[in-house]
Amino acid sequence: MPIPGAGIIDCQIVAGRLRQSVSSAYPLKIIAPHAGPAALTDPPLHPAVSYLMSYGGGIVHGDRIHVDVRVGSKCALVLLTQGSTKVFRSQLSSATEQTYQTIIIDVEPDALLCLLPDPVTCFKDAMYNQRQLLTLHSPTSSLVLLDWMTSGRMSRGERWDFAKYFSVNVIKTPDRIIMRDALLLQDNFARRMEPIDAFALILILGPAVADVAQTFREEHKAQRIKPFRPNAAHDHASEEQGILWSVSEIDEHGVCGVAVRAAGPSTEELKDWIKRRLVSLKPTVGDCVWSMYANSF
Amino acid sequence: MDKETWLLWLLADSQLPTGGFVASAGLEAALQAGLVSESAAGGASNSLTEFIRDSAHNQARFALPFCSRAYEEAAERLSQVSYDKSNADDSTTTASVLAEFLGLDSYHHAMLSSNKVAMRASVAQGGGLLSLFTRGYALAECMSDRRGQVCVGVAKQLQRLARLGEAKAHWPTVFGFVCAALGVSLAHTQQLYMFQFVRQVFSAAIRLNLVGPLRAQMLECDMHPYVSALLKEQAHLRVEFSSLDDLFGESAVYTEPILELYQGMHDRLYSRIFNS
Repeated sequence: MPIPGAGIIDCQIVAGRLRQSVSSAYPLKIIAPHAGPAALTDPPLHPAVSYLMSYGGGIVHGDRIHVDVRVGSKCALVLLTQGSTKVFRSQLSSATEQTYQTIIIDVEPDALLCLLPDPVTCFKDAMYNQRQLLTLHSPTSSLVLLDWMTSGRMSRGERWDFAKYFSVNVIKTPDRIIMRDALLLQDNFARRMEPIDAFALILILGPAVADVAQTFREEHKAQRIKPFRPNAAHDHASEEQGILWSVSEIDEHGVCGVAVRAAGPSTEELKDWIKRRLVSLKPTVGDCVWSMYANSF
Repeated sequence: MDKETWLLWLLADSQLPTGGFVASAGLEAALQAGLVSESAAGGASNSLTEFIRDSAHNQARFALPFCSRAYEEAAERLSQVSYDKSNADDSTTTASVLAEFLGLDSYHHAMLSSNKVAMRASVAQGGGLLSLFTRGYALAECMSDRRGQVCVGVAKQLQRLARLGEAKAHWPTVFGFVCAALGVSLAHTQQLYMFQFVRQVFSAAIRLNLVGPLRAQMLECDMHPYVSALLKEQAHLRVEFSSLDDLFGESAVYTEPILELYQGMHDRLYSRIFNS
């Protein structure tokens, strides 16, 4: 009897060809469309893609989603969603029931994992916990992790109206925990989050995505922030599309890359901003997978 | 006058030589990027006081659980030294206190891995306090007893490991350890931790011309109810990190993503007076 909400994704190269197996149990659905030929990178990575979806288009209180993922050597697995992950509380939910989504990922040597979901949108009174644990088995393992969320159903006037959003990302090597990012929005956060409508954390680690990290680094270095004058014209590109962002260098025990934090006044603008900067992923994951990501919004 | 009070006032002194004056807790970046505004009008103090309250809230949820746990782990092991009248070798206690500290410290480091600016500030100030302990308090009479000497031994080893890059010596964990070593109570340690954080940000605000020194005193005075309520709600928290449930748990969390984002801008500031 499969556990509700549980799923498995496994990607390996067998006899020179990519083998991807997926399984999922209601209310989770995982599909793995064809991903196109091996990338022209050196060494070539074999692209694979999986969509993580929920029946009903959202996660209801009481749901527990748990996905185990393994990305084998020479594979470049991209995980996508179909539309924003909506989290809502049903009238049948008990007062204390919360929603949990857990993803456990193993990235083997010379493998790449790109977790590029749509943003999470919590409806009024929703309580959402997202837990992601990623093990990078070698300094040659690479990762692009996009963890982002919106203020709510803005069209309904719901802004920062949910009860709880908790997102943890733990990055480890076989020996130790390298990074733990844990964001909790629970008590009186609406005032603090007021100025923005979408917030993203992007982790870019490992050699396969060094170009992507470099894109962010260079842009970060090139833009000096001059003292803000309320009535003066602004020329810093941090004003581009109203996106606020910063980049932090990561260099811990062989794991190298950047962490990017970006926030914007709308999901659309933030989506565009992110997409524009991830475009150097295209040759690594191949045209087919890139267009699945780029066209998913 | 009791010794603890004397020690608390020593530690609360803004002249405490730990290098804290180069850190603005992200205020400088927030000011330059427009989050906190500068104006003589009363309304502007609002964005400053909000910044300080939000940052304090974050400290209580993120850093204080480490400080409190570091204090307790050290204090518990050290209390055995005081009670043990035999001539047992204290090296086991020293090793045990150090090992607990290192575990906590490296977990705190992992939580700062994606925020280089905050990491830098924490290591600099932690290192400063550790040096103050080994080169200042360690030589004081109050540290000359057996328990004190174990603390000095731990601190020196920690310093050596930090120099070798094998430990970091972050501010909240060192703070907890030093207070336990000096014999300050846990409650006072927590209050002092929050007090000095708030004081540091106000001090930075004055130097950034966001507020005058006299007005800052008034605002800082009025911070008491907020910080007191914060401590009441959050002081029980202790970071846990042994199981997967702990890693996925809420014992130590960040609650201010926007402040964290602004803090990350610090190294892009065209001109700046603070290091972080």
